[in-house]
Amino acid sequence: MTIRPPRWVVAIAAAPVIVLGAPLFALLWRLPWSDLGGALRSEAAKSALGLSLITSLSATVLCVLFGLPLAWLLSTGTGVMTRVIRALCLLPIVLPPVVGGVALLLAFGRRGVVGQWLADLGIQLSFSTAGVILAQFFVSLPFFVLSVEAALRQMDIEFAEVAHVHGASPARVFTAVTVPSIAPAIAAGSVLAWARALGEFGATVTFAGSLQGRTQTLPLAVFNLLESDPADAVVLSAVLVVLAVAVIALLRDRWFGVLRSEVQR
Amino acid sequence: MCFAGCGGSSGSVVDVLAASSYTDVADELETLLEDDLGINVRFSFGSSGAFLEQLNQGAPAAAVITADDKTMRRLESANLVDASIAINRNDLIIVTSDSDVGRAINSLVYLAASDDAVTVVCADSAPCGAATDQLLKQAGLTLSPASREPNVRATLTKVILGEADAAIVYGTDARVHPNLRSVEIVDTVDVIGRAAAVKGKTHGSDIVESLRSAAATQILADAGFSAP
Repeated sequence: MTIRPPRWVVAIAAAPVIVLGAPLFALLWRLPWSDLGGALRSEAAKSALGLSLITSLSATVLCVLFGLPLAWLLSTGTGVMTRVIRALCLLPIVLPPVVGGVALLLAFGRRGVVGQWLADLGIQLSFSTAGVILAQFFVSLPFFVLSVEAALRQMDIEFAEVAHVHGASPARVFTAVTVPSIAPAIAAGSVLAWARALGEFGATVTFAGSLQGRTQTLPLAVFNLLESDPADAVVLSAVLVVLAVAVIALLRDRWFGVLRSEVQR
Repeated sequence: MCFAGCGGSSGSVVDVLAASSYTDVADELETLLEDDLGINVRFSFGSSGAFLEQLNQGAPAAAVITADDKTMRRLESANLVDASIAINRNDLIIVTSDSDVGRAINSLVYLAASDDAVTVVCADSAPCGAATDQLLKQAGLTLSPASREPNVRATLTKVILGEADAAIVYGTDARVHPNLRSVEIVDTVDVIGRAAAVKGKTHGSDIVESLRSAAATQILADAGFSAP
């Protein structure tokens, strides 16, 4: 039986709903419906949209490629090193993105600790599209690693052990048994990481700068347009809202699906 | 908005929105205004391009200082401020880092022709960016910047950090860091800094009056802002 909350609880709960809902409502309210196409067809909007899709998807692919092995390692470890690496993975979530950008500059900038070696090889990450992807990878990797690691820790290891006993190598067990069984968590982690990469602003503008077609992603274009053409900024913001809503719709099945199956177990 | 506890001896704080190029004269101007008017003054900085939206949304500023007249005209025609006055003149110059590529830069023509130099300029929505576009158009040159930064100080920072070899900024900005090398631009573009009182705010017109006093002009001149 469900116990219904009293009226005063409902009243208090309404306040945050308004705080969360009002900005979304206001954005749609102020949307220049008659001129949507014009705003989206502008050169700045088109290149920002294309660049955002390319960079955020690249960052997500990198998160999966490098995040899976890292999550596997973290899920099996118990030592001090594991805890240190996990803390390192959490850092970009709690760090203000602009601080992440400054740190990226000091590490991978042209005169940075790592960056000066890259510069000798003729590689400059700052002001490049690769720099945007690096900034997005930096901020979104934690979301992927933490979701997948949690799933690995909660996974039923029986199948994996059976496969191992029957002579399958650890790598074969991981790809053939483990990965398929945590597929929902991998999908949910990827979508979360992608959403974070898509919305990335602070680290990108600090580390990669802002240039149309090369480093000016959707959030940077919104920021720039707000000063020159606020109506177009609202339209681009709405594009990001639509993408965010799509992510939530996707996650509703994936993410909550995982949680539900955990609860049932 | 000012909650209990903020402000000093005379109570509330009066805010002034200023273009980021005024960052280094703010302390002295604040002291001058406080001595002149007996109020607590606090400068906050940003790109002049952003002031229209901020004032539209009710930013609690009594006065506003923009880096150029174009952005001030927009504030005036939106009826957000009273009639403005010119407080200084500034010009565009090139600053370079001490890298080999940076040191080789000796003119705007050289910079535009250089393939090696990583150059940053201001966003076209910021006054320094609009002036840069005008400068290049006048000179009949094209530049391929690595980035268009949100305001003049962000642009300058990229050179100070060594990420960029060169930037086009205001003459006054070149003075802020010892490692910066400045290169004059022949037939440069002047920008006129303007101040105005925000409509319906107390102290606004007093601040603007004080900003055109001899003492304020001297502070600005010491920082390299010439008389309008």
